[in-house]
Amino acid sequence: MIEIEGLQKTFSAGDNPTAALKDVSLSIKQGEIFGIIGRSGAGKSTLVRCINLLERPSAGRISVNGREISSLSGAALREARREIGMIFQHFNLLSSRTVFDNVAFPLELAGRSKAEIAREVTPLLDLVGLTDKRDRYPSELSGGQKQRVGIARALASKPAVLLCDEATSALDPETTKSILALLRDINRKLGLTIVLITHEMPVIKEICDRVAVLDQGSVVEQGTVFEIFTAPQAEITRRFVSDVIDRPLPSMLIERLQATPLTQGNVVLRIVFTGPTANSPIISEVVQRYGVLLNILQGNVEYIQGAPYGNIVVEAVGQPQAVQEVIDHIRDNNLRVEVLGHVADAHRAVA
Amino acid sequence: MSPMLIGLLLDGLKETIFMVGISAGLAALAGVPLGVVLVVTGNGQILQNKPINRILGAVVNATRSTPFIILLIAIIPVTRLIVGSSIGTAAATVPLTIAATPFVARLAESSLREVDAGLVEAAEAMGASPWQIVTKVLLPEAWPGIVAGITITVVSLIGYSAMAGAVGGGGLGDLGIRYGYQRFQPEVMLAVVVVLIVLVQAVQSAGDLIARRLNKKVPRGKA
Repeated sequence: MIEIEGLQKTFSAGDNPTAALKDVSLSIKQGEIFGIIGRSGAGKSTLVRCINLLERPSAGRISVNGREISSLSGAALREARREIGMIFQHFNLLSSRTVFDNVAFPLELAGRSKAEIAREVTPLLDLVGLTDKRDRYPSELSGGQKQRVGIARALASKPAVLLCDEATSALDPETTKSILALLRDINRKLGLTIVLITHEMPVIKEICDRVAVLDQGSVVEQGTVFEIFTAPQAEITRRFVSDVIDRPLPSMLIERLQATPLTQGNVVLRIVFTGPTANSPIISEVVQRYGVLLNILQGNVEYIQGAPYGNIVVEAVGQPQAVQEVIDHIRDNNLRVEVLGHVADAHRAVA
Repeated sequence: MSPMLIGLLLDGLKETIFMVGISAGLAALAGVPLGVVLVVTGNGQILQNKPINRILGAVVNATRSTPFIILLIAIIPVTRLIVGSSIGTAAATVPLTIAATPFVARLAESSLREVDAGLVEAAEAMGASPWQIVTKVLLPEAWPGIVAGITITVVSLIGYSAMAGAVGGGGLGDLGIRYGYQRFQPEVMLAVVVVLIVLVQAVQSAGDLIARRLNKKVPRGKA
């Protein structure tokens, strides 16, 4: 649906040009929700704005829906842009137009008749749940309602692709959720391909199918959201992911944690369950088989794209030999296990 | 107040309204498009064009820096060419229009510049042509500011028209000078000033009302 090849963008501010994008290549499939995450200044906004040529690439090729975009200009470009909807962080609604007239705007630009416009706009207002606000002005709406108008407006020209430029960054978490749910709904109902850029990992986790991580103008990692969350490779990705799913260890535990084994101590393990194994009762299995007691210190199970991702921290109480066997057994079952450290046994009554 | 004085005041008022009305109308018709051109040809704008922008900017500045009383006399040949005479109320509208046009253009320009660049970008993303951006985004969004600018222009023109009166244009200012100053009738001058105050007040209130009606940025009920 969207093919980006060797995209480069250099901004020349005075004598020292800055490279915003360095050789970015991406392939976005029909009907998917593709996320692009990066910190501010990573170049993600420039990247998404290159897709509809609001920003002209310095080098590289972009094609949308089989049409080469990067070589277009004038009327041909305007025509191609009608197939690419866009929503913005600050909504960019016309303050002098009502909700209805804002949604009608792209149809008006395309020279459609009044009757046609009325026929197209009404179901769109219904879709985004703003039928009762049709004659209101943007200044009378909340942030979430404004973004709904933005979405309806972007859909009016029946685009094949919807670009979301930090579309939820100005909204509170609850409103963000409802807007994301609406986007997911539209993606399913209309089969619309969505490209979403954000600096918020929860947004990616909530609705994206695949994600690319952008850092300093380059794609450092890409894959399905599940892959990125459960096995992040790049350092920056790890940091993004840990914001969402790795809860920091409780400070009480960190204080007790030591790097070397203790004579009268227990091992603290982090066990990560991903995919199908997350459902097998591995914990009770090792407890029974090796006689090691596992005292759960922290744990949570997240569902990413419907697949479970568990992350628990346990204190293993037992003979060192047996504990090692437990670790091996868990590894043999394709789970990740990591020794976090050692703690003195607070409860051990018998040696 | 004598009936004669009232008659004089009414005539003066009519002449002032005629001069100011015509020249403000023409200045708005010419100045608003000029302001649009100044904005869209600016750096980084939709129809960036440095030479045009520089030349128009220079012409606007030159006109605005010429004192009105000098402009009034300097363009007498032009006035004669357009109205056929350099004396009279109709003749006074030519210099008034020429003085007010760049004034409207600058005020319109500043209102147009205040339109959020994001709106222009959104329209571009939806496939709007430069003409559509001007007529459907920039002008509608800037209207309240432009109307406020035209109101300021009308008020300034009322002041300038007193000077135009001095070259045979008539109007309230002229009346005040001829009777009040040259014939030692200060009560006439006072009456003229009172009428002018009321006129300016009325223009300003009407302009404010229209601008407020047009402005949808403030929620209804709070305006």
